[in-house]
Amino acid sequence: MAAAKNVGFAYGFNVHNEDASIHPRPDTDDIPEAGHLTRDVIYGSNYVASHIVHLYHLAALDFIDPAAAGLDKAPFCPSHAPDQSDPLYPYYYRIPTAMAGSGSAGTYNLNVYLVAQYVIALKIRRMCNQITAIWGGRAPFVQGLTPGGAATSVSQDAIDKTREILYEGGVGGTPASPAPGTILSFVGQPTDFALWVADGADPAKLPIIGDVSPGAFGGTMLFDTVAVAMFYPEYFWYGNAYERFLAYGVFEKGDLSNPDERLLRRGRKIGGDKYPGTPNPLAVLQQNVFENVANSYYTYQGTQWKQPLSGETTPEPRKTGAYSWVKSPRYKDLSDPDWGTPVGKPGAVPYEVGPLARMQVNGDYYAGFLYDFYTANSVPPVIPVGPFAGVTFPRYGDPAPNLNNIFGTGGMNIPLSGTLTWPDLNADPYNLTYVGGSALDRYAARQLECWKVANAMVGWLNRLEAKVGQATSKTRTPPGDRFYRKSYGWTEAPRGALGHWMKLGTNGKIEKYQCVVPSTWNASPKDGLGIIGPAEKAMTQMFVPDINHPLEVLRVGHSWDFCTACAVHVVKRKKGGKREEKVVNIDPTHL
Amino acid sequence: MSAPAPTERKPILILGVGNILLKDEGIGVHIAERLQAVDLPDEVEVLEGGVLGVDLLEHMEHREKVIIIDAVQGDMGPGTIYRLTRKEIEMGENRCLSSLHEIDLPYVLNVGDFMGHYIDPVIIGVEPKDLSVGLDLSPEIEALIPKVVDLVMKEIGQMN
Repeated sequence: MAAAKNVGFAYGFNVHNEDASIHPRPDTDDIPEAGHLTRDVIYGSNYVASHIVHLYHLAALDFIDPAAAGLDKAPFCPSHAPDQSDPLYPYYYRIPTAMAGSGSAGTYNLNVYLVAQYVIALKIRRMCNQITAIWGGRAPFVQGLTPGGAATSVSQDAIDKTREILYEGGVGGTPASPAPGTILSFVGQPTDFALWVADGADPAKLPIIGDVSPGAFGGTMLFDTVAVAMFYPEYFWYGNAYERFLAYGVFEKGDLSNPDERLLRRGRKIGGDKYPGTPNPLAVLQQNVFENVANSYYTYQGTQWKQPLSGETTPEPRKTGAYSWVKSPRYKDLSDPDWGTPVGKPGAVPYEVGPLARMQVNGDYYAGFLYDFYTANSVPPVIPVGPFAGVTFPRYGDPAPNLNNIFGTGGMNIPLSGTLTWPDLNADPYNLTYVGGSALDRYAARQLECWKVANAMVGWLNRLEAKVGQATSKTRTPPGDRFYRKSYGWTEAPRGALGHWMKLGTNGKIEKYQCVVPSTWNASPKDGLGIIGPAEKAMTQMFVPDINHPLEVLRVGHSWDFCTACAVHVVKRKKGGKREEKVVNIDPTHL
Repeated sequence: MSAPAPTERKPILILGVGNILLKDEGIGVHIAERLQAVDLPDEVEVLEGGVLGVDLLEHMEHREKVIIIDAVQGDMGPGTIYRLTRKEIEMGENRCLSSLHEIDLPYVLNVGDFMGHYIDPVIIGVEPKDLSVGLDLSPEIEALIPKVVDLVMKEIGQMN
């Protein structure tokens, strides 16, 4: 089953790559407003589905205590999970199994609550796919995008059905007060966890495990995101890349003639701190995108730094020294202080793409966002629960915690094997300070983006409704007979900046087609200057107490939401055993 | 794509899965297409599952019988046709996903168990010869389609 290469693959490859390729020139396209809005609804529902799936169905199981939740089988209890008798177990799994509360149960198991949310999230992402199908013809392999706009016509019926799934829920819910079981209700508000804390952090007031129905406290994606983060705050210091963020921008709004006028704007940002004034990202220029294959299984003729329009993809599986099938995209900016390092060599700089990059570039997220957000909502910006209770949310430059005070002799006194001791992450060899580009920042920014996009869909639907039956409901402008010898298309897949570059030959046939995709930026190997890729960089500077259970590496790795291993999924027959009895090979027709 | 309500679901589902962009990986979908052109009993529904993953789960629930057609790696040579049950396939009990793009049939069945829907499909599989990029099956695999179709028909009691 080439199955489930999941949503991410499906959308990344079929919605967004199509879009990247069907903009003849992204800066001068003439898609009508209704076409933009229709595309935005298609993408928006896709973003929400993708981010929900990532949080619950890929990432959450790295943090939930499988044994405490009664999960003793795949996919909930993978081989890397430590045994419950492992002395480090309370360090690995910190979400309370018996949290004191006021309700009838006395104590509550938050792991059980989160697993129930996993199941509910399966249904919510399916509802997102339904919206994608209403506007895109089908899901996940959308066929509703065409050059010049979208294929779907704008109808009241489509708008009504979408609102039903998004917030009305058959009982007349509104965007401000969405009906239980709808997408907006599940996504929730960034204040959800803060409100619960302000109310006394009482697990009895959580749905499923407590005495209340969803909606009172918790039961939302944003509640769950913040709640889990509170138990694992050292990941605010783990997983940093280069503080270099890049986004092509997505979701048109306002002045459609201005390609930078987007819900999530185009640009680059250097540094994870808050913009000093209004968001003012650096420009992204297509001619400054380069790729290098020094450590990839490809060979280049001539220059070893190629722009996509002159790019090459010549596989060489036996290339000496290579270790990755991913190329190394880099951005060249002569004014960047890190450009050309090591000093004196020509080169370019690795950039991170994805939800954190988009939110950073847009000014919607930065180092210390949670601190500011809690303060603005009159909730103390202090971790209220778990082993780090009492620690203030970090702001830019804040030092990393001393793990010895939490897990070592200064705290829980969890023994380490051999001569290992719990390190002070603020001291040698770590010297970590908070810069807003960590694994937890990646998780937080992704879910905040999910919230932003899900709520923006309400406005898109309202604008589409005003066009029903009007001449302005046209979703497509025929692209005419313009041809460009060289062109490129940019968009943002849920996983980050996605660009396609195309060159026509003299006979009008496509001569070159190069894609530079989000996971290539993030998962790129060491380039010809010896500079490692963003995700590789993020794997350094971590304390891994037991190499046999490297959950730290897994958690940081998953924070990127890679798009890998999409290719082939076959069912594997079990090997060995009583094959003749167990496997009925009814027709051994060998070729 | 929503599944019909449980009470309206046909008792037998034939589900062809795979990636048609990678030649023989798409064998299941090709077979499903072929079966859609066949006059089948009323109680049988044929579905092209493609690469939909957990979205297929709701379609497999509430059926009397589920027949899945897919590429199978059984190490008995390209073109080998298999009939397997879930006891006979690697269910990935100890697997850890490194990417959401690794979701496969065993994962979907495992999630089904957890959701309270134990699905025990019959898997009719063909060992692929060529998994490179391309819409067509290898000629040798294509030639097996009538045999596989016959097997599926036997499975639904339409042939002896």
